[in-house]
Amino acid sequence: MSDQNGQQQVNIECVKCKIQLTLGKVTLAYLGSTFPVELYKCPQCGLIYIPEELANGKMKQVEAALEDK
Amino acid sequence: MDQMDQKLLRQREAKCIQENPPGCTARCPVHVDVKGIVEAVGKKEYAKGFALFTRMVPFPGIISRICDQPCQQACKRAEIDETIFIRGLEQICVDQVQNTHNVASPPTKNKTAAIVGAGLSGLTAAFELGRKGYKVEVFEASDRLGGLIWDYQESRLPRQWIQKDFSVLAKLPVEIHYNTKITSLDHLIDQFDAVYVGTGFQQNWDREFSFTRNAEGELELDLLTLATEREKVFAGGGIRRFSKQYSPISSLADGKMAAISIDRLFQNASLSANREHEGPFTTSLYTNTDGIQPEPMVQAADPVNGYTEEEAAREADRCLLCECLECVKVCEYLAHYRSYPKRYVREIYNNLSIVMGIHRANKMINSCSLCGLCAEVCPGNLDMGEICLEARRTMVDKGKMPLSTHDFALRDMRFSNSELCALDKNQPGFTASQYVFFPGCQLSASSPNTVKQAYVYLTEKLAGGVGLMLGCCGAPAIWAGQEALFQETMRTLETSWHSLGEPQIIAACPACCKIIADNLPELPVKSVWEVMDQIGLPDRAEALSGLSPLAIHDSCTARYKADVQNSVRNLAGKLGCQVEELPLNRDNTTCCSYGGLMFHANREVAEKVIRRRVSESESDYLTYCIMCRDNFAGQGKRTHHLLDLIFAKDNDRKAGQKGPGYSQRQENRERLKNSLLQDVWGETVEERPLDAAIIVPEQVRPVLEERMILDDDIRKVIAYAESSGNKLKDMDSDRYIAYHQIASVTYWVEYFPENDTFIVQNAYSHRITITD
Amino acid sequence: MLHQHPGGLTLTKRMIAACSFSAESRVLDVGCGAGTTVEYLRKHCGMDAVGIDLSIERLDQGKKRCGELPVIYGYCERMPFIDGSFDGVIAECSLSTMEDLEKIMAEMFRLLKPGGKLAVSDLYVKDWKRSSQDCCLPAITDGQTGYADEKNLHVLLAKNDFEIIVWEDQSAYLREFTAGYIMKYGFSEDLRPFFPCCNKFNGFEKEIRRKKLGYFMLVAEKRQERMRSVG
Repeated sequence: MSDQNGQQQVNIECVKCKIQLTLGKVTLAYLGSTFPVELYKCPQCGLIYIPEELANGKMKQVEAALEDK
Repeated sequence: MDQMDQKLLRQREAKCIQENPPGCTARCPVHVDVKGIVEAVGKKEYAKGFALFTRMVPFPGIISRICDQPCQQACKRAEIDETIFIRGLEQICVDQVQNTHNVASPPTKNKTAAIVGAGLSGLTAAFELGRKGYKVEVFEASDRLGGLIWDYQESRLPRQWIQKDFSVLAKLPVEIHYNTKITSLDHLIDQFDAVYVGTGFQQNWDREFSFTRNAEGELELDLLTLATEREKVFAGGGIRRFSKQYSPISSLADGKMAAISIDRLFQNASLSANREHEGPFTTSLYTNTDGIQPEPMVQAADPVNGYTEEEAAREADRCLLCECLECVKVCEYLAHYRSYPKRYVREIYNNLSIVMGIHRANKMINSCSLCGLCAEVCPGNLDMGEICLEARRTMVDKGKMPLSTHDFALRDMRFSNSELCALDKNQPGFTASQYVFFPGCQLSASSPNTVKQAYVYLTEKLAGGVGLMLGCCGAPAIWAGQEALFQETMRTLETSWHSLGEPQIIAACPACCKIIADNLPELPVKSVWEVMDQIGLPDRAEALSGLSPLAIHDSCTARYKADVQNSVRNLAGKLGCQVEELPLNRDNTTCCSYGGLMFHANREVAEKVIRRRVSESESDYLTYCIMCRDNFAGQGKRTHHLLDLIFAKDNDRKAGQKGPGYSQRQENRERLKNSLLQDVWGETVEERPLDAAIIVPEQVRPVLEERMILDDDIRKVIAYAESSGNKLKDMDSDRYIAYHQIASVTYWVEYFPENDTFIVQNAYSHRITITD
Repeated sequence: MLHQHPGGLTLTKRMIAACSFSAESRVLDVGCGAGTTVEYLRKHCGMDAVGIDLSIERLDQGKKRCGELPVIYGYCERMPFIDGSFDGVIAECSLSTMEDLEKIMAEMFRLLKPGGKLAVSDLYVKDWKRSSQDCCLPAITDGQTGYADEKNLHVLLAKNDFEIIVWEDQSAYLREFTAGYIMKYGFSEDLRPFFPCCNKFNGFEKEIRRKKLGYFMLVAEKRQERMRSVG
């Protein structure tokens, strides 16, 4: 099952809080632009998870698009 | 783009002659597109060739038979064997199409022109003016059209072509008055809005129309417009000639030129503006004719009827299709974008003028190695590197340089100049230095032992104290367009030099040599090769006659440095090496793709560049820049570095090995400094405590290299995660996942703890920041 | 579904504020989509807002989300409302998707009371003259949809007797929207998913990518009297 970003559901725990990550709103920023995104994060301490495919995929695309503007 | 920029753009663009016409087209009075026709004939596309021909020539049947071919004087092929028989190729197009060309009847305009004489020039003028809708009346003394063309035999000019060609005039508002000889122009000038005199070569010229002739017998004419001294009256064709030499194409060209003048007269426009390109000229196009095998002109088996299709195709094949592209031939970067510098330069200027638009030329600007080979081979010395570097500086200035392109290289440079790696010291026992060895940041990174040995050797051989400077000369900063950063680096280097007593710099890297010489001219700098050529090689250097001939690759930064190029060869010779020259050597050498940070900016082009260079010879290569060595070895080419050959053992193995990875390079620099401080200066050095102990399994290493993620950065992430407790665990794989922002990059690491260390499984990064 | 326009509700609020509507003003949302702005104006501002759109799918989404939403299906070139029946007309990232801008502009003028306000936010080409070397983006007046430039818009508004009160560049919202969009849907060469609110391209993809594309907001007022006689 995929979530909004097309990621597979993840089974990841926040080690400090000992709870599973759930989807939540995160604000990302680059070169003066901010944009909201849904990512897995710890509902308690806010630690987030960005999977490799996202970092190397869409995030690189956003970086390139904003750099080239 | 302001006026200054425009002017500079034009100047630079003009150096690239690729768009200049080939000699034949330039020399043709009407600029027939010969190349286009030849290509069409080669593909048997005769209709296309015919269309190209008739675009410039209104009477194709006639001209393809009797043209006097001034183009042949300019044909490049003549330098090799024989000119191309251009007229024959035009002829086959005409013969295959077997038609006059289509001319639409135009809407008529309210101006009239009189044409005296129905020779080629007069009828061409009639055609061109009629096509624009002006009413034309031609006055011909005889009972037929064409004038001197009738002097040609039927076999040379079949009469059907005369009839066919001239039949186009029937579709136009052109009226012919046969058997009407004009003796005075006065009443024509009254009745018509313009008059063209094309009565041909006159033996007794003093009796016609009271035109003035000069001492040489030339008609007094404005050569740009063919206007005579009398208002509204133009003249051309044979009447201008002072010998009976008939040039059909020149007459035709005159008719065109006069028609343009008359058209402008009718529109009250300037007769002479922007007409410099009319008429024949000599082209500035350069075409390389090296290596073309001589072949004679193809002779038609049946000269009367011209080429067969097969003969024409063979002759078309002989055509060089002149163009320059000298730089594109030698540079993979220029070839990659499938065009040529004139267009690239325009694109770069457009890119800069689109302030904050989408910059598609960014990558192209950043991909040039700045090596200067194009400037060397270009007949106009156009230097793409100069233009790209300037563009990079402008982009940095305006905040338009994409940070990610050069970030890693610049951080690496900073590391080389940081406390951990940088060093400037006098030789032990000296308070000032006569010389200072400056190996450069990459040699220290890749062959630290060789650096050590070379330094020791220099201290043994040179008197007066040989100091040592470890650091980076700032090349990455220049190449990235970061002028301010580069100036900073230069200042530091200069300060070190002063503090050591202003010694003679001995540089092991040709790039450092060039950059110091160009930017700090007061600092005396020499390459280590010239020095070693003078002081001699260490006794322990093995004779290397056992090595098969080595093909020498000159570093691009050694271009125009004959002293360096020669010293290197001398040294190789002294080592018993047989040296082989590569096709592009010495001043014509290519870059290995490190220059201009091409490797970082455009991996695809860099790989092409390396691949091409390493395929130029089967032999092992010899270089004198460690980046060249590492880049070639990276694609599997056995490559030796000259200093390694002189000082190191085990060169056989080393030549076949890839260079160290990014993390190893930084570690080597740091260790080199510490090892030198200890062994040479006797200082105790404490090992820098690492943030965390990590193990990178063999299969993970390539991933880190590819993504340019350093071990030190991984350590920082893990150390942060472990001390803060901020980490994640993947419950399926049991891996820990941690992230941390370092400088402008956020690094992610997946790892397992094991005893006192951490085993790295994966790492990735992004520049987008997390704000929440 | 991420189909909000660049700037979202924040920008909407800004535009509405510049219009100085009184409560119970009658406002038309041209190209209302799923009706989020109509809903906001009705529920939070107490206005009598209605919407018109050409996408049945989006209208259905709106009605599903919030029953009793007064949004209708129809062409913005000929809207089924009486002359002068609106205090305000708002068009958020919708004009650039429409066919005949001249007609729509005339319609919007017709529907507004004298002194009524027109609020528009949309894409535009910055620095058109400087950045268009060989390509000509179609002028806003030649009936084709394209991305207009600032000057042409001013001319079109003046021609239709609108007086511009506010013009602001809001391109920062466009960058954010772009980033958010890529994160959701990924980036492909085809601009279509890049700018979801714009479904008309006429082959401009390559040229548009060359230009400096920005986002603007404007508020204009319908003049009390016509400046020239009606032809």
